[in-house]
Amino acid sequence: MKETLLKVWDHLEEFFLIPSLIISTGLIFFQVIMRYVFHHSLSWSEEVVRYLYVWQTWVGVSYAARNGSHLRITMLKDRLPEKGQKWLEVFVSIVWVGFAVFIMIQGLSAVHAIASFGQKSAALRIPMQICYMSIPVGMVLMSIRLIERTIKSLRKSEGGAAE
Amino acid sequence: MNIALLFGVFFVLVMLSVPIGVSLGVATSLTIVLTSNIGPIMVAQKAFTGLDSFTLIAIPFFMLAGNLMALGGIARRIVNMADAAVGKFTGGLGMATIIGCMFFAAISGSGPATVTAMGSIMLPEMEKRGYDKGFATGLTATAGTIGVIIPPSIPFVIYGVASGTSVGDLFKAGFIPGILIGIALMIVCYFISKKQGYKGSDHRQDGEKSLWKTFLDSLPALMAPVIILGGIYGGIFTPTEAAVVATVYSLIVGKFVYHELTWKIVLESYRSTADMNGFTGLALGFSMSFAAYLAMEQIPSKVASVLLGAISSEWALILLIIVILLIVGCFVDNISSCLILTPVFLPIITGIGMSPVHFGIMMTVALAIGFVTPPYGVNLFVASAVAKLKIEVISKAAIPFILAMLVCLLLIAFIEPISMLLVWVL
Repeated sequence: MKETLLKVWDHLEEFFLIPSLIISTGLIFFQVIMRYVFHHSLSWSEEVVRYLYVWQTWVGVSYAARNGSHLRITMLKDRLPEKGQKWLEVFVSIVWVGFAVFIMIQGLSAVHAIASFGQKSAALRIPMQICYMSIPVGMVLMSIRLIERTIKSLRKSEGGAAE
Repeated sequence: MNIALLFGVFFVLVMLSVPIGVSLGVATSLTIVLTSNIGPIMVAQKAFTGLDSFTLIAIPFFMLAGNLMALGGIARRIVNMADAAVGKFTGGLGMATIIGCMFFAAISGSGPATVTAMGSIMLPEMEKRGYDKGFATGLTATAGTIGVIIPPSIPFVIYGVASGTSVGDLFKAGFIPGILIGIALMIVCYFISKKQGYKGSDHRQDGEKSLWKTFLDSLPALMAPVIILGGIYGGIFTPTEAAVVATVYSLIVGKFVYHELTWKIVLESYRSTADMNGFTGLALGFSMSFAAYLAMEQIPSKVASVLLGAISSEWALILLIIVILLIVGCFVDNISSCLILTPVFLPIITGIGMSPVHFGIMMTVALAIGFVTPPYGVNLFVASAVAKLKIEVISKAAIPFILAMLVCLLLIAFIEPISMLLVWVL
């Protein structure tokens, strides 16, 4: 049970990202077919795909943090000795998580503001706060992934030193 | 003062290996909180609204389509056809690699993806036929840059969104420059091959004797660029729709025509697309906040008026911008540098009457050269991984090709019709 849960947690983002990307593929293709074969332009498909994309991006930000694939310039870092690299990595994680928490707070106030205006999307009348929620959710997930990674790398290097 | 703070914080954080997106976000947030009365909620809001764009969705799908075509046998068929056409000439395999890159570029929008697709097939072949490994890898790494110049192109989508220019126009404008660079690289390849004695051969990679059979086998692969570019140029679909049609097409051809795609490969391609979407998204989102702040403080127009006042010659200004782009391209990835520099340069180039579409092509070519210049060059990284060769060796071998690209860059920058002709006539 615990193992299954851990496995689910490890692939958490994928459960949203992959099905939603497949849905987006299908929807846009369907939109092209409808327009060119059935001469009927869909008004809602583009909007659905757009908001899915926004969610895919902010959840993807966490997924990329889990995979360690964010765009970074490591030119100077690579020249540091191992110990220096380790502490620089801790510093980067602190800045990164601190920023994520800051954006989460700003994102939540944006959600709050949008909700009180009652702003809705143009075609489907989706309450816009549902879309804006992607930012705080993504930031929380990303922070957890970052802390996870940093602890793991610290443990690993400690273990290495003890051997 | 606020400009110094903004760029200072950004530069220091980037150098400390903080992710580009985070560095942009922290620099913008700090500057806003410390020097202005703008609410910091704006940083989150712009990061959201900036990504709420149907055009940007083209990026993950062009990535996905490129992946599926590389793994589903389409890339292989393109190479077979190119080999059949030019393989028998001096340096023929090298030229076939360049032609392969040009065709693959018309399907994929990414430089490194083009290098991986073409390199994994062509490098072993060239080695087998006595090409120097460094030369072959340097050639493939440089030719891979055509991946972002011949449309579709991910950098064009990003530039289009960052500058408010039509992505369709950029896709038209990139076509001739891409062909020009391909021809220039082939000329360099021919002369080096002649000197080194890399002879052509009638032996073909697919073992076919008849050109007709190779053509038939590669026809579904060759149709891919026709569908994608034809669809966009003919106004049948938007760039984003084209990317999705390309994805579905490559899925069908790879799975049911060539029988080379397994569902496992498809799933893996989706996974790496989701990942790529995440790391570009972070940089994209916060560069939107960064650019919005620049605009609010009218920083780009201030920079423009200083530069335009100091340098009166248009040529000198364009050359200065090119030099800056080439230097930045050595150190920073092209997505980030395009996002950061576009809002700064745009008022300058419109100030001297250059078209933003023309400038977008020039900028993309200049930053594409950065793909093959160390220390940070994505094409060098993937080429080094594919060939198992040191980056220094590859970048040294790439020098003659890079020089040819520089000549093309100057031609593209100063002869407007090279990029604008198709925009005018189509």
